[in-house]
Amino acid sequence: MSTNILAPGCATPSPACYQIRDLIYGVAGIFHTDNRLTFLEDRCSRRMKELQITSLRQYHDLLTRSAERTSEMHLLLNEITVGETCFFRNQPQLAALQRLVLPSLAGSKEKVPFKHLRIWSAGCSTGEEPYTLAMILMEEANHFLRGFSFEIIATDLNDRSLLSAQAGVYGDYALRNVAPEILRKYYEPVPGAKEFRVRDEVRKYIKFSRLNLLDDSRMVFVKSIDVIFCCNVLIYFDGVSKKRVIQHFYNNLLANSYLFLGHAESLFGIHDDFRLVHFPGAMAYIKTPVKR
Amino acid sequence: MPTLSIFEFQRRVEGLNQLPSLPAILFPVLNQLSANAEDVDVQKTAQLISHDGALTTQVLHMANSPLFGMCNRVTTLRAAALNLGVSRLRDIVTSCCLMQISPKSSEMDAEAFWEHSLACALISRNLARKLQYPDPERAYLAGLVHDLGILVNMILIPKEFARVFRKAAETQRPLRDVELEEMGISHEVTGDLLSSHWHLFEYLSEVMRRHHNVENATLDPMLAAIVNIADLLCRTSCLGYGYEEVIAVTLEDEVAWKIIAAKSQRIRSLDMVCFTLEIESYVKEVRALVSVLFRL
Repeated sequence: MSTNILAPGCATPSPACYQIRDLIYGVAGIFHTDNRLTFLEDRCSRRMKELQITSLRQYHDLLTRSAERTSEMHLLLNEITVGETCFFRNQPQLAALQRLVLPSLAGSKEKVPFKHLRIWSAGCSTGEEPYTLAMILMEEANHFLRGFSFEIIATDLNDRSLLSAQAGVYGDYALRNVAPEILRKYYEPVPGAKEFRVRDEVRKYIKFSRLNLLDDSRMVFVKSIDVIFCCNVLIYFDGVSKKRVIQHFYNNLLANSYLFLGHAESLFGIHDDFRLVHFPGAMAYIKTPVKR
Repeated sequence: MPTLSIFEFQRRVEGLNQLPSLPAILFPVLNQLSANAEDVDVQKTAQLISHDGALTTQVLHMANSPLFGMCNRVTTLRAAALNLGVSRLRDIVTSCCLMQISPKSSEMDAEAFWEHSLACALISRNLARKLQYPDPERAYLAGLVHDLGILVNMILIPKEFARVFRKAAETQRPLRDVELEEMGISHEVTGDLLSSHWHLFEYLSEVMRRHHNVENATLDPMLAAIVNIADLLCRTSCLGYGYEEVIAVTLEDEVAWKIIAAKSQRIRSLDMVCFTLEIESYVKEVRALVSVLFRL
C-alpha cells in the first residue's frame, strides 16, 4: 500500500501534515512553507515506510505520544536536513578566509599571550566544510598562524550526517575540488576502494557534536568564537527562528569576528549589529560591538 | 620614494596634444541628444551616427545587450532611439565613442579597463535609481569616465605606469595606492587634466578628480559617493582592472557611504547582499559586450 497521503495533483495536504510541520518548527525551528509541504510529506513517507505506518495521522501520533517520539523526531530530522556539499566548495569565500580574515585575526591577537583560534562550522553536514577549514588553518600554521593553536567545532542537527563526518571517508564527488597536492597531503587512500580518508593529523583539530541551533540552553555555551561558517543552513528557518539563531551567533562571537553565510544569504532585516564586508567574490559579516 | 615628481609630470604633459582626443562624431551627436527628449530629432541623430559604420554597429550591438534592458531586438538606430529613449541612447553612443580610446599597453589590458568602466557606469546608474538620486543617467556617465586618468597614464607615462601596474597586479594591491607610492601622483590628477582638455561638464570633472576622496567633492558629493561605492563593488566583484585585488571593504565605514546616508534614507532600505548579487549577474554580460565591441 502506498504511504503517500495525497493523490498526485491533490493540492490540499492533510491536517496531520500541518501538525507535523508545526511539531518540527517547535523542535528545530525549521519551517516548511506551504510550497514545501510536498517535500515534507515525501520525507515523512520514507520514515513511515520503514515503520510500516500507512497514514500521516498515525505517524503524527508516533511523533507526539509514543515512547520513541524523541528518537523518531531525530530520525525524521535526519531525513529533512541532508545538505549537498563538497570539499573546498566556495573558493572565493575560502580565499577570503585564508588571505584576509586569518591575517586580520592573527594581527589582532598579536599581543595576546595564548594565541588560539576557534572556528565553528555550524551545520557541518557530512564534514567536508570543517575538514576544509582545518586544512586551510594547517596550511597557514607556519605562516600567518605561526605560534597559534586552533580548533574547529563542527555541529549539525543530523545524526546520520555526523556519523558520516566522523568516519571521514569520501568519494570522487566530494573530492572534486581538491587539488592533487592537497589530496596527497591530507588524505589517505582507503584500501580496496576508490575512496579517500581524511588523515588523523587533520581530524584531531575537529570536534563533532549534534546541536540544534535553536536550543538556547546549549547555544549559550558556545563561546569565544573567531569565525562562524553557517552556509545554506538558515534557509531552513523562518524569520523568527533566523533572528534567534543569528542573535546566538552574535553572542557566540568575539568582537570583530566573522560570520560567513551561504552565497545568497543576507542578514538584512534580521540583525542590525553585524556589518557586511565585501571580499573579492565573497561577502561576510563582522561583529561590531554595540555602541551604548 | 616616488620616482616621478609632480613637476616632472607637469613638464611631460605640457604638450597636451599628446592627450587623447574625443572622437569627432561625439560632439554633433551629443548636441542632438542633449535637447529635451521631445525636441530631439531622432531621424537626424540616427543619420549622424550612421555616417560612422563601425559606431553604428557598436551602438546597435550595445542597444541589444540585456544590460540596457531592451525587450525587443532592434536593427536600426531609429528603432533603438525610439525604444531606449534619448538619454540611454546618449549613454550608449558616449560609451562606444570613448571605448575607441584604447591605448596599447604592455601591462594593462584596455579591454579590462573598459569592462571596469562600463560596469561602474551600470552599477552607478542602478545605485542612483535605488537611492532616488535625481539624475541616474548622469551617474552612468560619471561611472563611465571616472577612471579615464588611467588611460592618460597609459599614454603619457607608459613606462612608469607599466611598472606601477605590474607591481599592483603582482602584489594584488589597489592600483591607486601603488600609483601614489611609485609615482607620487595618481589617475585622479591625470583624469582632471583630461577633463579640462576635453571641456567636460564640471560634474564629471569632479567625479574624475574626487572619486577616491569624496569628502573633498563640493559640487555634487552624492554623485562622487555613488561612483565611489560602485567602483568598490566592481573591484570586489571580479570587475576590477584585470587582476584580483586582495581587499576587504566594509561599505558602512566608507566616507562615501556616510555621505549617501546623510542625504538619502533609502540606503538603509537597501539589502547590499542582494545588490551585490545583482552586480555579479552583470559580470558575464559586461565581459561579453566589451569583448564584442572591441572586435567590431
